[in-house]
Amino acid sequence: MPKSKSRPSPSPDLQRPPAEVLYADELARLAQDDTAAKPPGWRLSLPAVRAFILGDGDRDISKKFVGAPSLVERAMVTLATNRGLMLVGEPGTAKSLLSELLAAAISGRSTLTIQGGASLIEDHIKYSWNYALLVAEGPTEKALVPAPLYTAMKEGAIVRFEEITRCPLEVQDALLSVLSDRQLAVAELEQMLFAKEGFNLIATANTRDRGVHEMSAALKRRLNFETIFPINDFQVELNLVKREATRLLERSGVHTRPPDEILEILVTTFRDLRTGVTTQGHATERLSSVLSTAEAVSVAHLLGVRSHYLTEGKVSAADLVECLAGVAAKDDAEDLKRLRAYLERRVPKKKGAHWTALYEARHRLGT
Amino acid sequence: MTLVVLGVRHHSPACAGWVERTIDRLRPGAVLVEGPADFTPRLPELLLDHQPPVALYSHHRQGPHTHGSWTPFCGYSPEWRALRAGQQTGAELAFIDLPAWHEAFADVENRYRDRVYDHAPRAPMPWAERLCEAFSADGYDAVWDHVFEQALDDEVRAERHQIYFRLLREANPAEARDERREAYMRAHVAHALARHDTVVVVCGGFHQPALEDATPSDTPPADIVPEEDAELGTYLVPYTFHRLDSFTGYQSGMPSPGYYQMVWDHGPERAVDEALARIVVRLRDKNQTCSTADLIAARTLAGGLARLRGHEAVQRVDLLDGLAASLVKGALDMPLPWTRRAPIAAHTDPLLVEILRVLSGDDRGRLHPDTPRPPLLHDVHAALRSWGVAFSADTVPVSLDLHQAAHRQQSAVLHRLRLLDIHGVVRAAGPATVHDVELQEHWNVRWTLETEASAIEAGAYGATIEDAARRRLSEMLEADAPLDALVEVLLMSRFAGLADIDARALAVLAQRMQHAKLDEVGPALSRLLAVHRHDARFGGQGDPQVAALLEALTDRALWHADMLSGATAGLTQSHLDLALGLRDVVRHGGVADATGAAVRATFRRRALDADCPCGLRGAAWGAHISLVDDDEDAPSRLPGDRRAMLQAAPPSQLGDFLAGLFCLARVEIGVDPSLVGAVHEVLCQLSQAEFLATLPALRHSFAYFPPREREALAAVVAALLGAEAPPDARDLLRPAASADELVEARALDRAVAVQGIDYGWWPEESTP
Repeated sequence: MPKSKSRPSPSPDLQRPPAEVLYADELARLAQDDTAAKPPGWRLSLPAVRAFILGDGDRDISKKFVGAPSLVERAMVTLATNRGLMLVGEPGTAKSLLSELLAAAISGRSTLTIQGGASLIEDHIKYSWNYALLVAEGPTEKALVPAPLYTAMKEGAIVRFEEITRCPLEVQDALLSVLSDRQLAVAELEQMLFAKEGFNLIATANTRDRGVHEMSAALKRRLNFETIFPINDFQVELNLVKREATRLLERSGVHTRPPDEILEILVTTFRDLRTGVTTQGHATERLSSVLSTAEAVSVAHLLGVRSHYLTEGKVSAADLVECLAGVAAKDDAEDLKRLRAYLERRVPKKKGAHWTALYEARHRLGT
Repeated sequence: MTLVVLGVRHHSPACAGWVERTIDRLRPGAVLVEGPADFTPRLPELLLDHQPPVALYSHHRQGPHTHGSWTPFCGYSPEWRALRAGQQTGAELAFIDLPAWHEAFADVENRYRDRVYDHAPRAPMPWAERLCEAFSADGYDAVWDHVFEQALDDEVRAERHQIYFRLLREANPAEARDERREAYMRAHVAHALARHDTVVVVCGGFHQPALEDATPSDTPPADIVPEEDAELGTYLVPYTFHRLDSFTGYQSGMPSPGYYQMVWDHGPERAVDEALARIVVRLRDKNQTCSTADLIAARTLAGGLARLRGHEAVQRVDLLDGLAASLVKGALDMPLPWTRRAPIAAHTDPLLVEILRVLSGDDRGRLHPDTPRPPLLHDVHAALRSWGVAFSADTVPVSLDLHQAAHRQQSAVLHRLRLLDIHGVVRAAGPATVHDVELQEHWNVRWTLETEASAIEAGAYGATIEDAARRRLSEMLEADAPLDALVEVLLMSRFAGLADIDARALAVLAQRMQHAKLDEVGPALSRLLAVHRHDARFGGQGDPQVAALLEALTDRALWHADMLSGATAGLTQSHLDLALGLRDVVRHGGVADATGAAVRATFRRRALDADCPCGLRGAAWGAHISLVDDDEDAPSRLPGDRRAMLQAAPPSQLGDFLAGLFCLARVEIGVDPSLVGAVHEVLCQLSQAEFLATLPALRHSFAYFPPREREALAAVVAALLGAEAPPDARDLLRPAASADELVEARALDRAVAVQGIDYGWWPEESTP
């Protein structure tokens, strides 16, 4: 999925400005024309948020997210209620992008972000202390160092929690009272922080991380889940792979890209193994390795570089088999078996010289 | 002269209301409805006080060709409302479309299907895609609901319908068959215009542009006469929402009839609450958590989505989206099923499947008692009489010898009645499969009131026992049932003489087989293969359909054979069944050569694979040995050194390994002293504990040898141990104790077990 449309950045010295800076102009125009009712604490109304994310040709608002419009609608309405939003999906399906866009449109800032990880502790979520001040003055508001959740509650903004399932359960559970009672106890100050209107949470998690740290049922209850799927349309995905591969190859000093037939086979193979159904409608075993569009782009890149520097510009089906093996072997040894079975029994049912070549090169997988 | 053509979407409650209002307002002289014109004289039958859903079932047989189709009506069908409103205002009523037997309806199962899905091959319709985009809708159903299924001023509605259906027609031009139908409908309209001041026509919106400019004509439409040898009829049958919702692909109409019935009955707002209530009951019945908080969240979300999308009341997609967002607690494997039009895909979240089932509804129609009986009933009566069964008399036993052709025909009829769930037809005894040696069948047949009721209900499937049973069979094969149940249905269908199942059911079944579980595959493979090889009597031998299913199952079995891993995973019967099924299907030529080659390659690979469960590994080796005679490709054989192969297996798994090996290749291996020697060597290296652990599996593995071969084995073992071979090695196998002592020991065992259970040491089921 395209991460974002390239536009002249307002601050050219930033590598990647946040969405509210990058699209400041669009946000301002949307806010100006916005006549619809806004949920309490929101910068924009729901139709304006939708237009910001899905684009609106009439108002020259760019489309920033490729995906089902109904998903964006459900996500917005969830955020306007008292439940948090949980975006789940395969890696590379633009979950974080959607979360960033939602936060930028709703609260005007997407930077209240907690990055989940094994070393995350509660202090990183709620607040910590400036110890010098703490020792000098005791617990005072001045000595308190707010973390993103604290700030978001205080200011009535959206807080983003990336890769939430990578955090230990006890850290995740710190969110429970915040999400249900919308309040946070600051015991040291003997104070309660009550969330302002407009506060809510967008969490993202990777379906591949299921089982790293399961989520507690209590937290699940407080979140509405939305699954983001890989690009549904073959042609859209193929075009994206062609475009991105060309861009990467040019950066590597290669000015040709692998032949279209090879890229078509690559994208088809990825889609077949990702969905578990071949284009002919036969079932096949799904790979557990990540087969995102981004992965397809990197395979295309690899093929291009290999052929340019090693095989005088020729890309054969055998090269493709070897690259596929590399992708499949990344995660799970079982995947190699699945790939072999696909090559042995599904590929011969496809028509075309390149597919035949792929079938004949299946022995490159090794036994 | 006023002609009003109301182009509707079939089964749309909003259209039904519009049609009703228009007829009430205009009080036209004639109301003409898209429907089989040959049924017009019998319209009074349709206007009786039925409880919908009901359908007109039309059947048509000419020579070998048979065709059946339905014209279904729900309480909220525009056509149904039009006829009733017209009746109340005293208008002349008529169906104006070609009869169902006409060639324009070849392959059409559902007269009231949706034209928007009638687009093959599925090229995109740019305008429809743009509509989806403009309204942020997933799919045409959502667009339709958004634009039409809400309270609209009638004029606005008429205009929107016109634009929508004109676009649809431009993208999806009328075919020759449509033109014939429209010409016929125009002739009816023209003739009605000549006789009445005001005429209202209710037809699918697709045909509206073709009928609007009809001008009065005194010529009545030409009579359409079927060919002389054609056998045909149209009857009213009770229908179900389930069947209405199960038309797929280009035969489909509006989805979720149960939900739209609620909309029609209670209005859109109350329909949502009613639907939610039913969904909660269903989910809780299925032990799914669905808390009050979840419901509040779902209702709030649905309301919020409706407002955001500009719907005055919550619509079907709003409700479904709200439910999905608040009830699903995890990542989905498949996209939400209502975002596209296709049968529900495998791996769809079961919660969503249940929700859709509730919206599909389980209403069953009932016919008014004065309705002429469906033709199936007469067929059933005739069959019953032929066995001398009389109404409310005693049960009549029917005994059949299936070796005789005449008896086989009678048996087929009984089996078809059984498929149709006709009450009072009971198979008391008979062969389990078509290739049984014993082919005697005993039936008990009775004719009761329930027999009548069940035959009327089954009338929805067809006009004759054969047609109805065939359709019922397809439905059963497409149902979501365990594979062994489906195979059972498939095998029993051969008794019913319905072996040639229709292509769609075959495809669905093959699809189901591609997802079969490990323990399902082997037995199903063996059962199908047996029919393929041995069923000479019922024509299963070499049947291409069975071969296609074998192919699909073999494919699935190969996945399992390839995927099982873990050298120390214990041997289970499913491993052995799997290897046996695969081996036999190749050995007996049940599958194509390429598949056979893949099976052989898998056996070879797994026999050498250190990560393969040892039982399966032994079985793979055994299968390889037992197939190798036919295998001309000598270099691809496994090394002949059995000792080396044996030693490659971990000693603790020796029993499993041998069990697999002997299960598949006991005959080919026979008593092989070198193999016995190798086993002996391995055993000698085992510690006492290891030996005891592997002993049960070892016993299992040698149980594949019959006593005579075990005697030979005993001789080999005796020689290995340096003992003098006894004159009769079978002595070694005889128990040392006498029969009396064994009986006594068994009684003692039992007494111990009883005491053990009494003291609560062992569970009760451990009674010897």
